[in-house]
Amino acid sequence: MAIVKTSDLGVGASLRRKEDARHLRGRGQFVADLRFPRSQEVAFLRSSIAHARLKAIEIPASIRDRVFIAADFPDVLPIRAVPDIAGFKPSVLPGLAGGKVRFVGQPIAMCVAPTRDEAEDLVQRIEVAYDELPAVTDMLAALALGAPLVHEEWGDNLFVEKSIDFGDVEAARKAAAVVVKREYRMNRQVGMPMEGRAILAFWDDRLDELAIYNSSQFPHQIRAGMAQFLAMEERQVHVIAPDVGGGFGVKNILYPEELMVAALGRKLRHPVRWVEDKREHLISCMHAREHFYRITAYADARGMILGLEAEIYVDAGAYSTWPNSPFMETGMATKNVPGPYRIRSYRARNFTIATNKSPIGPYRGVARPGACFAIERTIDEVARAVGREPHEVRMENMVTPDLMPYRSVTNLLYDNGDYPQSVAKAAALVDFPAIRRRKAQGEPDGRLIGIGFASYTEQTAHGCGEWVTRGTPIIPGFESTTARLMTDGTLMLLVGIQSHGQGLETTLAQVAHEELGIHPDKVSVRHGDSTSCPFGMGTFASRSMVMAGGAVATACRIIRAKIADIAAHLLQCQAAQITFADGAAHGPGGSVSFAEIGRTAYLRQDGLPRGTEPMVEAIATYQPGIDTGVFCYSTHVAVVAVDPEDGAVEILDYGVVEDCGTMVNPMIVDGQIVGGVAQGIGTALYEEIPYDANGQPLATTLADYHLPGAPEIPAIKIAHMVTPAKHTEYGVKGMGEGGAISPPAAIANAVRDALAPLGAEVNETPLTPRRVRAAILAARERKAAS
Amino acid sequence: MKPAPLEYRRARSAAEAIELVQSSAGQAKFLAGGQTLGPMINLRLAQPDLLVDVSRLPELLQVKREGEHLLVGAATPHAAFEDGIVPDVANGFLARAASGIAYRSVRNRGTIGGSLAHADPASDWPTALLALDASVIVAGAKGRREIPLTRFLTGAMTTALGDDELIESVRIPCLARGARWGYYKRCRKLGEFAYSMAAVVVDRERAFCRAVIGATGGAPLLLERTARILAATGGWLPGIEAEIRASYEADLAASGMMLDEYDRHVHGVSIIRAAKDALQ
Repeated sequence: MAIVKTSDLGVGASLRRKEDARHLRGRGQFVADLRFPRSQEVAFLRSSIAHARLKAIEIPASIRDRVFIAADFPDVLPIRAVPDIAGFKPSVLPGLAGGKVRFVGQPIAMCVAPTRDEAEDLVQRIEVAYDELPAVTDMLAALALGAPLVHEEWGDNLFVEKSIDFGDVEAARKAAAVVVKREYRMNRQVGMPMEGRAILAFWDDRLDELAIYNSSQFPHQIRAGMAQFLAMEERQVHVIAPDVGGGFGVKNILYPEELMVAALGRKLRHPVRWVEDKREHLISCMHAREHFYRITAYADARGMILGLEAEIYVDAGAYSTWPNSPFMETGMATKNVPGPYRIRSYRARNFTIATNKSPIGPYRGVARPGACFAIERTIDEVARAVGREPHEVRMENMVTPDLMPYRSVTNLLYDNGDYPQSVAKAAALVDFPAIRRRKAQGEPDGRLIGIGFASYTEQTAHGCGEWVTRGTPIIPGFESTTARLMTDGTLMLLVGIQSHGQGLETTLAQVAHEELGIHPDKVSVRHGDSTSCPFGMGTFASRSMVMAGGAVATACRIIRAKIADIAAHLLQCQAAQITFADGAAHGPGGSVSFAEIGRTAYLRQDGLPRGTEPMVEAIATYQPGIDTGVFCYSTHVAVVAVDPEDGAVEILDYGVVEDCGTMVNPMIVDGQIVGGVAQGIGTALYEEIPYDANGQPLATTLADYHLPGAPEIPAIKIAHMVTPAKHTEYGVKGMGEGGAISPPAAIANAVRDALAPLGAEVNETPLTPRRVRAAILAARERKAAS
Repeated sequence: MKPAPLEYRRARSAAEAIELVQSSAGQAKFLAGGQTLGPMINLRLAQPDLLVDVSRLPELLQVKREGEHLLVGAATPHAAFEDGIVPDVANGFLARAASGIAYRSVRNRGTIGGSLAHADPASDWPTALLALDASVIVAGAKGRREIPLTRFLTGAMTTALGDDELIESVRIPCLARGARWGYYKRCRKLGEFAYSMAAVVVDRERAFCRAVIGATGGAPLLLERTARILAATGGWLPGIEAEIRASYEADLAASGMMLDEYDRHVHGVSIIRAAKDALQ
């Protein structure tokens, strides 16, 4: 069904967010805001060494009862997730390290005290004796023979290695007029929600259950994980995610710290809480993005790509995580390197590598920022090799609308859309000819300007079959909703999805309005409670609007049928004659309000039609009509000025043309795009966590880890194309992650364009002034040598 | 990131503050704006036993003209310079330097004396005030002494300040009306510490000329040869840029300061741009 906009309140309306009132007034309730009697705070003692055997943990006797180590929890299992992937070596991640530590920041002990300050005082009094081992911190070095082994029992440092070969790359190589070979590196960073990790746990004697308040993107999965590793019955694990201050993927993991705070709550019974600080976040929260690519593209004389070869290396850090381990990162990078292009021959080898660094995991865009960086930079180099404008070569290589649905070389089913048109519109958005004229004139301040494009097509809201092919231990192929008409005719939606800032309390109410004609203000959306809400997978993989929106629509339609029956009875007409608007059911001869229907259904059963059961409530699950996902796509364009003297890059203009099908709330879509682009600019220009040779992280405060702030983000120009999806409710596609995918590639291509007269290019993120300047000097040396 | 246990005292006078620090059994620190010390204490990189708050001492807040100098209390916040509450005796240079320090919230609390005492190579006041030939008035148990910044700033985060000495005020020479200055700095993002900075002051009436680079990893560096070239030139003339580049390289070589290729180049760019700003 294709819907673009039907009313001022339903699908397609830029409704203001219901959530804003509390958040703008500082009245949200995050884990750190919770107040419970007798609550105590937890601080972790973390490894200061990257790789070591623990010889001894010395705890003064006077504080022993407030310090907890691995040996105090014989009843807690280590975290382990085993994917269905041949040859994958899952690690065993203990909640608290007992034998060996494998990265700086790994938790060793936890201390509990009335305040965090006092808990940190206790941490300071513990002495750890380490038997230090050589550390391996570079993923390529980790593959070398004789490299220190992160997990000795593996015999190497490879989580998994895979090869794929489609089409005929040899033929492409022989036919090629140009061959472009490049290496690309996307350095390690971390997703940085405003609210870091946080958890509070205690034993609830009344309910005889472990109560866990957790800042999470997927409370129901956390419940399953907690029950598994705490060896508990799931009926006694109650997980509540209150307000969640951002997640971006980093809250899609069951962390050792969280497992142990839950275990401590079970042990001590009174509430214990851990609120992560930014330093802990930078050091020990799941990192992201560290990819290295070797790409070879074979193209004809016009720049049409005939074949592609890739070697893909992902530095996954010391451990695999629960539930979805780093194989996801490498697998998705491999699948997405061919991008939105008609590439029929593709050969790739990938390596998921263990090092003595914090584990990596999903961060907005998951693997695709790296894949996009690799292919989009390559497309530009192919264009330069054949002497053409990169955006024109890009358009010519793209899958065209007449080929849709199109099965990509890596077996992704691109459903619909007009990819080349997004490039054309992006060029228009920043007035491409004017930029070219300006570039030809030169800048009065000596800076060099350039323009760069980067496109992607992004699989969103993929279902069961796709996850099965990925081999994930959990298959997040559906979402669920309970729709409950209240006795006064207002509506309660209990959803399994988890909002962590996306405005789902608003957009799901808009869906209810679309189906029932009820005002969104009369709809409460409840999420984040594993007991009161039906099971749901949570928010990730750009799936929430499609999946949860579909579930809300389905549940609302079930109750709509019942409401129509009751209304028809009260109005003495046929159910088929009933229409819904303004919180009432309307028949040919009159109307009956939802309030009256609610009253009848619950309180005045005597008014129900014969044989109709009381109550108006339905639970529904939803999965899209296809499980290969619906693909949103976008082209980003960046205009930059580069100071060739110090290498500084300034973004002068930035445009996004995107198509996510029908937009439930265009204002929220634009907000998601701007937020994603801001994070992508962080990847492109600012954020990096380097490690020294001993495995010490070098970005441990926000003074070393540069997040872009408001002054670093230009006013983003956004244009929409709307191609409704064929297999989802209302034609919606997922879009939450996309904004973060293209900026590194678009900005690097713009820098490349700026530096083209000097023959320089930068193929590593972030494009720091130092790296840009080094590229200029290297080009100068090459020129001098030739 | 919470502080270790410590005692906090608010002093009523500079003398009492010094007495409190001096008589402390453990490590004692003066606390002014706390914009650097605060995070260091929270990170437990600093674990003083006693903090003596000097941020509201009247002696440290006075601002007065003394002949050809301005005497500014050490606890004067950056924002007071930015907002023109402190008379700008350097033709706008003080306001410009102050307004580029971190973020407004930091400028509201952070102080000129605190910045000098901390002496972060990448912070603004050490470089800017060295270019103006300022000095600090320091009070200690043995009385007061005046130390010119040329001798006060001894290295990265090291100064000539004694453990129990307190900067009371900063003495800034007034520039002549026709004096020119240039100030150039580059940061990875707005509000961050600079990765390169340079200051130039050309005051022909007072026969004073200085060129300084900061953010070097050491104390701000006086470029004496470069200053002589700037003093002698009739303006931003053809060829001056190459002259400055050469003199800067010579100054650097004479200083013995070791910089990598990037820093050396970028600081050179900064001093050229600061000089151009001053002379053009």
